[in-house]
Amino acid sequence: MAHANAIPAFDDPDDRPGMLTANEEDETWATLTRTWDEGSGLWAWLRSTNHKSISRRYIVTAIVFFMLGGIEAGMMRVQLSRPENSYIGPDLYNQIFTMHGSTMMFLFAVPVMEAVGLYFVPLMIGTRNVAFPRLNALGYWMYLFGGVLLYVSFFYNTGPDAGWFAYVPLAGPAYSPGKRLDIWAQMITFTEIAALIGAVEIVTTVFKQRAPGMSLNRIPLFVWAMLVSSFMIIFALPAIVVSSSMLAMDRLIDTHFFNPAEGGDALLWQHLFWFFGHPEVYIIFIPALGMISSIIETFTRRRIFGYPAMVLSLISTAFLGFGLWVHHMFATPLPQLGQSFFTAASAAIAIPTGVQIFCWIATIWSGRPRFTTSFLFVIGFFLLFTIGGLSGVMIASIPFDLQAHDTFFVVAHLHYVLLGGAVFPLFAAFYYWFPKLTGRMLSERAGRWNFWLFFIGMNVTFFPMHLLGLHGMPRRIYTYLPEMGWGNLNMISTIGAVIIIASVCVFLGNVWISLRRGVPAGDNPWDASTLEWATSSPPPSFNHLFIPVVEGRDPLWDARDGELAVVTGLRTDRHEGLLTSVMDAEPEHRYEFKGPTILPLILAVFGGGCIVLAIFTPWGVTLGAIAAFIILTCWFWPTISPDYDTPRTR
Amino acid sequence: MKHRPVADVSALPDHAFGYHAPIWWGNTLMIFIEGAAFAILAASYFYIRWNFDAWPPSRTPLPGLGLSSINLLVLALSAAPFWNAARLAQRHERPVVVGAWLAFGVLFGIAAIVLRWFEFKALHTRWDSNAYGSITWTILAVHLAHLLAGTIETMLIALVMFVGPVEKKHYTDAAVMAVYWYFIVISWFALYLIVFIGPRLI
Repeated sequence: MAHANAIPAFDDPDDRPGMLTANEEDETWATLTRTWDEGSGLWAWLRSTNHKSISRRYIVTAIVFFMLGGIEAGMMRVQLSRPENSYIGPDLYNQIFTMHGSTMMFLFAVPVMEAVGLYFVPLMIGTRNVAFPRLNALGYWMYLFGGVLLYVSFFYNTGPDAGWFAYVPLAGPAYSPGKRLDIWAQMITFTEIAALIGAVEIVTTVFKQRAPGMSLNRIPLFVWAMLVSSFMIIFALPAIVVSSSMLAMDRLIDTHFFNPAEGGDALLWQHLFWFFGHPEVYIIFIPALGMISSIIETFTRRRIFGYPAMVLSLISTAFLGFGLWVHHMFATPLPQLGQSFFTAASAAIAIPTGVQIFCWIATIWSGRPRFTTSFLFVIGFFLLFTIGGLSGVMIASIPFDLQAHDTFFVVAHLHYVLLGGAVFPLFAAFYYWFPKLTGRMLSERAGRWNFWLFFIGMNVTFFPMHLLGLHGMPRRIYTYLPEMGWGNLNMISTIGAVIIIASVCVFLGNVWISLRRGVPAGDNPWDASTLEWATSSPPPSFNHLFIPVVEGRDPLWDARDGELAVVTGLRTDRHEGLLTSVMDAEPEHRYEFKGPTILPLILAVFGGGCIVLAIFTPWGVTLGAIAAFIILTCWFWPTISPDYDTPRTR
Repeated sequence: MKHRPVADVSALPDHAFGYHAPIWWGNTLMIFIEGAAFAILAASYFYIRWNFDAWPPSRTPLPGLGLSSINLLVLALSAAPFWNAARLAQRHERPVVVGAWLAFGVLFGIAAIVLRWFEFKALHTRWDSNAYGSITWTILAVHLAHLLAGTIETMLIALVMFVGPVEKKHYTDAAVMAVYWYFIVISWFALYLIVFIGPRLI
């Protein structure tokens, strides 16, 4: 093996130490526990920089926002259940559908995918923490404050009301006076900072911190998916950074980016927004693909079929995902060449997704599938995503799109792809990894109720919307006249929403009861092959007792004799980790992770406060820069590590 | 699960340079993010251009080339002290020497920031005049934010080299700082061409 030359391997059998004794292991465990302990209590909680504690709160916060977004959806469904309903007025309805979309996209889907990645990527590649632990903490706090800002404003009747994509001129200063859209723009600022931080963490961690021997062609597919999705975040988010700043400036300091009277352009907003917004869909969807690969591999007890094809599909999906944005704009004047190009690109992206689906089918076909709840959700994904994909192919064609644009057909399509393509895989992942997260199994029986209620509820809710759209019902209307004949289908759809809510309640009950009385999981309850299952459940603060050495794509199946090859020699009295080379994961050098500190929270409070201030005066930006400078100076000012490395004399 | 030691890593070094170091990756990804933001700004510039018959819009003079070209030269020369600081850091020279070269680089940064003030004036328009003013002011301001951040960051690393406790890993920071500075310089070459030369060509 290549890396054996790079480190002082025990080539001579006489030098090779035997298996580590139980005593030696206990001692290492005790020292590592002491070193990585962050203490207990509120103060320790606020200071934590451990990727697992941060990801846990990320996941919990995202689920809270999922429920808030779900409640908003439920309120809309009640309002639309019959014609001329007066439960919600038009102004509140506008706020609610904007809140629903913004919450689900910015506060639930993207953060929850990154959170699962930030929890499991370090465990799956065998490292002790993410590359920049303090930055990671900052990311969570920014995300939390962005969400809180949005909801506090909403409860004070200042929720944004121009839709989750805030089209100008409606969102501009002329047609949206007041602060509602500024709140939206700044919520975007918070969440984009958080998402970019998460992406940088994941790329750096995957490139530099893989266990020795885990060359690029041995990375678990979920890690590949997180890596690809993180690169998409890095190149797509700047478009929304720029465009939401332009919108805020148009509203606050009278720039004219989107003002046609002074040479600005409303369509510029649509281009910039969708140059971010379409990749955003894949930023959500690609991690879900990785989850599905992990789950299918485990529950068919065989290696995934066509690993190189799977990886290439992920990467080509990411590339093509940047070439589709204009298909959100088919109803605007476009040159014919542009129409053709983006139609072709929209159809072409079905190819890499198709390759993956056929690889999964081949894996299931030739494996021995176990139909656990997790696996059922994967099957649900296949069915729902295929339906969503088919309606996608329909609206990729411009003549049809012009008919269906801005109708409930599009609402049906996007919910089939997002619920089918992201929420179902996420539920599957939750049932799969919950034992690792908590040390307890979720109830399979409740899980089946959860699955069937969700699957039925989802179809009852959203399938009728296809028909409503074909009957001409526009999206984003707060009510309709009885003569339109949309009442029955809307009532069916609302009944479906009730079934979905029941399903989520079953899920929450399952989590609540299993946390207390669930069957203890053990290290590897599903007999899976990847490294997160090599450590205890839940994992200790330092993840793995020793950094494992990987000799194949399925380290735990290779180690069926119960022996895991590991490296020794890392310091246990400091937060030390091992860095390896980007391609072949050969050991390169040791690395000290930063320990817990309150500074990320302080920066989030003051920096975040200034972002909110910038809604009212441009001086918020100046003040924020000064605050950030002072806090970051404290953050980065070196503290001497006694006995770590001899400080040099000048 | 039993553990079978196959290698001992205690003798490996505790820091590295270039793409071996995590901070190099953190910095490079930051450059990707900000480079993408500059590209989006440039795309917006050209998109807005086609809403006007004349560019710059009629009655707006062409952007001045005097001090803006001097600033371009200042930024081009500024790469030299950073290059030398990085070279010395990788050889583990004494911290004060590395710090002195970084401090020299800071002087160029300050000069560029002062000259930027005149570049705003040389645009002969305001951010709230029309979309031309909005996009050109924004491009200059966003790049100015990078100049400020880069200069302050360099100042802090130089200060660490002079007074702070210096470990070997801080040499990595100094070397990575130079990479970020190159990005500031190179991105300005592109943006200068677009904002100051562009109107003469399109």
